[in-house]
Amino acid sequence: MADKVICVTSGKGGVGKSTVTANVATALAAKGYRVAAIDADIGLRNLDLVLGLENRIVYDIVHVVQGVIPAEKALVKDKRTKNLFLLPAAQTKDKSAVKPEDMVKIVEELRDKFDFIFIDSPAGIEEGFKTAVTPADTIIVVANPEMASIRDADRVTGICEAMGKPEPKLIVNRIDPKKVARGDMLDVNDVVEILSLELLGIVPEDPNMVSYINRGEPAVLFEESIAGKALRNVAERLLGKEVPFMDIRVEEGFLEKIKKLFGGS
Amino acid sequence: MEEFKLRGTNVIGIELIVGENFNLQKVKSFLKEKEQLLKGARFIISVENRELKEEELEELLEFLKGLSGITFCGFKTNVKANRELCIKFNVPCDLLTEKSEGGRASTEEVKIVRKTLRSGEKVTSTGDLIIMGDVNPGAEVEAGGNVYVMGSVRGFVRAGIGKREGEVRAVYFEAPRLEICGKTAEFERKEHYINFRAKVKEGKLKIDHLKRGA
Repeated sequence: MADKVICVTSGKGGVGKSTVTANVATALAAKGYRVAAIDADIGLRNLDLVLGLENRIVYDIVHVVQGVIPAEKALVKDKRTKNLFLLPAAQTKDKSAVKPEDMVKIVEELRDKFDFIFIDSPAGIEEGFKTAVTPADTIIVVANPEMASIRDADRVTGICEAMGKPEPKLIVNRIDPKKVARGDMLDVNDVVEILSLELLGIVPEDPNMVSYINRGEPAVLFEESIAGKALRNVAERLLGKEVPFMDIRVEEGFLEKIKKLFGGS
Repeated sequence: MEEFKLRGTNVIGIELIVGENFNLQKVKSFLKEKEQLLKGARFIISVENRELKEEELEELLEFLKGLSGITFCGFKTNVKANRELCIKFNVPCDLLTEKSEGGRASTEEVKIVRKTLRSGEKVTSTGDLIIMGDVNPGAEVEAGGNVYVMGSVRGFVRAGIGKREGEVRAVYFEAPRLEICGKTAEFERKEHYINFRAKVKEGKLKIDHLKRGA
């Protein structure tokens, strides 16, 4: 499979890299694939919280790099989804503790034992980002529909290009159909037009996402979550299936229709 | 006449003018001495009425590589052989012809970029620049001549650097700022143009377009 080692990155922080990683990895594992998720955000570890595995961590990625334990042994098994494993980041070290070649080595160790390996990249475009991207053969760029995020995603795309990586795929995260309809938020089309990348998913804003994350339960496991559904679709597309994009437009309200009728915009 | 002198050009940066009695060793020691002054500046060398030897150019380029703080942008010359030599070494070089009113010297560099410029990328040309793609937010384009973008401009374009006349054309334009021949135009957010053309003529910046949205 070409899309085996997948790095999720964004440039800007807080756009939902870890959430996307945790959810898509969970969705694939729930379908029976063996999935490893590597948290490459050394010093600011988060992926364990999103997956609800913070109390099970014994070893982390820095132990693996130091040779304390082989990568496979350091993996934390997910408590809900079997087939899903997490290699946590170290919280007490910083980005310099893992070099690109270390990450390549870890991925090589795990490659034959998994169907998918996800790498959750740190924000920024420095060393840590390069470490996360180097072993990847597929890159997913997560962007929010706002200019700062788009510009950063564009920068990251340019750097990946310069590193000789294949063109990243795009997930537009946290789009709020109500705000788009009111003209307060950029449309998916605006984002895609600027970045001109293959669209892998459109994830609507989900008011319940915070509580899923706080409970450590990935949203993809819940039928009622719209963001969960969108992220399940992303997993399907990674498997090569053609899934139509969800229609997330809101119906125009009665008042807006009247306003439009009378020439207001 | 002095052997060489430094002068600031209005936009490109600092220009070193060397004349007939060009002496490579003196130029080198002169530049070494002025390294601090030139730090951070963009720098060009203008060679007048003197044909450069191949080994001289080679040594000079090697030396310029060693000056870390200086951004060397290329040569200017009025000797055709120098330009040919520069082309051989893949160094930008503008040939100054006798003052021809209107139109640009046909020997100027024309650079074609066949890709979209993403944020953080920068492309420069001493002459005209054609971009077969978009100029995204955060990307920069600088040209001594005109700039033609066969796509959308959302980043920063600077054209006609050091010239009196120049133009920028784009299929779609939605950038916050634009500079032609040192004249700047600022645009409001969401202000955008289709079939955009901006030019500077007789010291005035004029904008033409097919359709304007706000």
